Amino acid sequence: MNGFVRRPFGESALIPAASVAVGLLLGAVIMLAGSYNPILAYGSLFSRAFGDLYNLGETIRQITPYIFTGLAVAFAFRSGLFNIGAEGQFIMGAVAAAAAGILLELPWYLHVPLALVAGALTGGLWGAIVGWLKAARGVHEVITTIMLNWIALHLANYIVRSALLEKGMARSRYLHESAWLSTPDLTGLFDNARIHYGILVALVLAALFRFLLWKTRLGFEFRAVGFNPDASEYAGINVKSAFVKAMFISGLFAGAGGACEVMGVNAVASIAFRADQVVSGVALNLLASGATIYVCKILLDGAAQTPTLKNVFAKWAVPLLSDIPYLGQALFIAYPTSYIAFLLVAVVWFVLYRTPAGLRLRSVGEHPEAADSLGIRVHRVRYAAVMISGALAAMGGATITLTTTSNFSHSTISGQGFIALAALIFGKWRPAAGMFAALFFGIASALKSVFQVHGITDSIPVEFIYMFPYILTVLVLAGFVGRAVAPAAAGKPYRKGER
Amino acid sequence: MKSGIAVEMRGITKRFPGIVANDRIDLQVRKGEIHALLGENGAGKTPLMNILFGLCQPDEGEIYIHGRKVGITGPQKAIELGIGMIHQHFMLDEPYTVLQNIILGAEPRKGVMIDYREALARVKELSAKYGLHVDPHRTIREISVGMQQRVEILKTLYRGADILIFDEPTAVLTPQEIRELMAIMRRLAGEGKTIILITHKLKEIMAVGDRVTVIRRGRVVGSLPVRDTSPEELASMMVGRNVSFVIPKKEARPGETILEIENLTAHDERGIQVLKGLSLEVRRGEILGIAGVEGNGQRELIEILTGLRTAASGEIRVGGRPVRNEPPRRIAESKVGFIPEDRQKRGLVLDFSVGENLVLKNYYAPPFSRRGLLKYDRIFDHAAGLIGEYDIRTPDEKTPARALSGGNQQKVIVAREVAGDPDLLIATQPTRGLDVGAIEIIHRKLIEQRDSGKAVLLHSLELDEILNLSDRIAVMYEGRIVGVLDPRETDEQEIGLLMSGGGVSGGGTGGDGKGEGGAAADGEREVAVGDGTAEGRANRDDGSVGGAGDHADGSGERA
Repeated sequence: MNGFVRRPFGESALIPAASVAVGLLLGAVIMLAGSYNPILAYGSLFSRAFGDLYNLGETIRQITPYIFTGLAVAFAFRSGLFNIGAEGQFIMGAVAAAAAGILLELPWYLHVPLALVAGALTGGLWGAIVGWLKAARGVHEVITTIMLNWIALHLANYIVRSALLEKGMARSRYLHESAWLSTPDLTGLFDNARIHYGILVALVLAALFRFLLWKTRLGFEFRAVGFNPDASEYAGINVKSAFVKAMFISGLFAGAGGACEVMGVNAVASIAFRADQVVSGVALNLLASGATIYVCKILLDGAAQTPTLKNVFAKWAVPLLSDIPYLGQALFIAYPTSYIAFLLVAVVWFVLYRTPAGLRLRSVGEHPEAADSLGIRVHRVRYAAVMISGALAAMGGATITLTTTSNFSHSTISGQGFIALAALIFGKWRPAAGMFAALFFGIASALKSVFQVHGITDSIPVEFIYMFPYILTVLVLAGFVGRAVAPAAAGKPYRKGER
Repeated sequence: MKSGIAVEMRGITKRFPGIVANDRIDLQVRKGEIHALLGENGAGKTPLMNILFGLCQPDEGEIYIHGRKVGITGPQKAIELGIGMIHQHFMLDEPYTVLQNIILGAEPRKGVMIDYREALARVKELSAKYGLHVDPHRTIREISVGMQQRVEILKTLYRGADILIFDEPTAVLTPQEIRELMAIMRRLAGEGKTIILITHKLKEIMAVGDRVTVIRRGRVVGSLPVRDTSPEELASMMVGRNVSFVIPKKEARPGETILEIENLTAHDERGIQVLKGLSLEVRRGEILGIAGVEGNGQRELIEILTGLRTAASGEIRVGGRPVRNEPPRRIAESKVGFIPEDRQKRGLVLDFSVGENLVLKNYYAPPFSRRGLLKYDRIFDHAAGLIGEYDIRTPDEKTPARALSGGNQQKVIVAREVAGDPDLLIATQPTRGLDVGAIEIIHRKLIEQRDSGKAVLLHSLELDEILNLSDRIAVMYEGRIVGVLDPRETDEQEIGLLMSGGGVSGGGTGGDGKGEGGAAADGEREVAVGDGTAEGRANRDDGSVGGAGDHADGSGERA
């Protein structure tokens, strides 16, 4: 009988360890392909990370925020929520702690905990918004967390700029020393590395994470909801309130991380002009941004960005139509890629809804077992779909480099994929509706420039104009769209025989 | 009968981790016959047919189709060989139309587009030829279960199948629909199609089968013509010992009314009224069975009673206390136990341990938690007690519920709900997909609850279960109770007629559901399941084999 009962013997530690090993191995293969010496590279990597006290301290400093955001994502995940918004909660926590550290003057034994708690609570509330929107309005947490990441970034900038700014600098004033999380004793110990006591806070929170989830009533509810919301509802657990609570606690972890970062590392909050750092956290995205720069360096003798491209698309006027007064200007003078995009909407629609391939493709997303029983090769169709999807997304990327930016650097692409994901959900998984959702995002970001041109930015802070499309998206989804019906088997792996 | 062997399987062996699902099985199916494959849940019928349809590969053995040796590497290959399968859980894309479902994977084309006109013509021709009426342009969501099954049959015929495998096809049908299906099967056989009918229902085999092969614990016990056998013989072959079919049930002694429902109305997600002024009472010491065709408001009624859905109007009282639209926990705390229809979706958190699942509804109260902290020692002590009492086969109380067989999972739910000492126990489809042993234990528990003065509300789509257990039968049709019958004075015929909306007549006073049909007859009544004690002993004695069998049950359901 025991033969078929699987027990997770230390599986939890084994899998990450194996992943790291495989990752290092793959990295070595790639380095060999580029005729670099992997042993030398890894050797210097390890000595850089752990070689001396200074580097060890710096490594710990770099790990610290990841522990916090990792805890945040894991906690939400245990409760069945995909929190892509740890970054936003982190930023909000950082700004709240900075405000508490700069605007208040208290003895350290009050100031430090107060600033920490302010950061954690603000991050928690930022997370709770996501939970509430899901519970009350049925808005998918992936889309709200993405939107709230951008809103957090701009809101934080606004707060720093309007209340905490050091004159003439793109950063806040220094936090009062009574709110610092690093002391000369500690940094001295590590040869002046920027290590701080945040690592202790992180470890305490990791212990709290464990205790909360496995020893308390609340944790029982979170885990039950995470594994099976239907059974939880049946068992009398208030699933909606569990979503809000779990996102609050998840945000709490991230917010505390933000607070520690700002109180420990530089004791300032800086203004982030671009949103590159928002779109981290998803491993494959990190891989893509790393790999593109790597390829770029190989092809261009070590340059991290391409030179300006010469033969890019020029705007193209449609004959006759572009002569229509007013409308012609607006609609029929554009980059050819724009026309290709609109044409592709029609093509995608046709393929999905009028051809055998489309019927099969949708059936594989809806009911893979049924498709399999009719002899459709589920995995083959899914791989094909992912590859086509990748090709279409790549055309989107090419469009940007070949029209507006005319070059490629690490910051050329920032977050468009996530906006596309939002547009997809917004458009209820349909090509035409998705196109309108994308147009909506386009118009909203175009409004930014319109506002700026017309001087409206004098009366409204610029950050609010930046936030506008994201806020609007959340409001529209919460108000009108509500629960979108995704294909039943979307995102679920299909294994033969598990039916 | 025509000669010629359509399907021959020789020495098929299939092993799953820890068990042998099929052990050197030989099967011969003649062309044009209806060949029944009989066995308990977990006996190995479904794995065998999945092998024939290419959904999994045998470890040993050979397959011959029309005398030619073949390797069936996948469903595509099976379809090419003219084999079609009508699955127990329909393989239909809900948002698709009937027509799209039928042609999926074999679409007629015009250029790059799907030629729907050609598709329609072909489907219409097939449906006329075999008497399979469907609405081609309706989506699956909009059509009845009976029609969905006809779509499944058409799917196989459209692909040119001449060997049709029906996997437990009657589980979701009304008696009338079952008769229709039997007629369809005979018609298909008459047209030269070969039919393999997987079932554990003896009645169906006697009604429609030409030959029957009996499988027990992965082995063939025998293969014989249906006309030379009897239900009793088949039953003992299937179970492996003489089945007495009976356990005693004492006379009901109904007491005070526990559950009162008055004029309940409700709407479904699309705003369609599904309950139209339903009234019903259940008293202490009785089992009230709700019969009805799926989709007549039973699910909504049960969900409202247990707080999972809100009602538009009406009154519900449990022990005199109004509970309409109260949250599930409040209702549970009003001493209502609930065995849900879908044990894996609703009843259990599969990744939780058996112990945690046993306190899923009262984990928050002492002694299982105090001041917000869980007391795992108490939780696991409690579990160990129930595991013994209910004979739940699990290595220990810390094992995840996922690792248990279907029958043992259901025992976990029943143990939890009964241990909560409810005044009212609501059970929906409590034995669906379980083997005889588990069914018997669960039926016993329900009767035990009734005898100890609890009110039991039983909802089942298995009419036999309703007839055997109930002291009163309420028939639901289109959101109302259309009759309350006394099981001693009614039969399938009458119930079936009411279930399909055919006139309001019958045993009880009908209409408002407050009939007086309560008390059962003189003396002891009998319930059609295996002999309790013998079954229990048999299970306990050969723990290893029993355990393996149980697991086969689990994998069989998934497979």
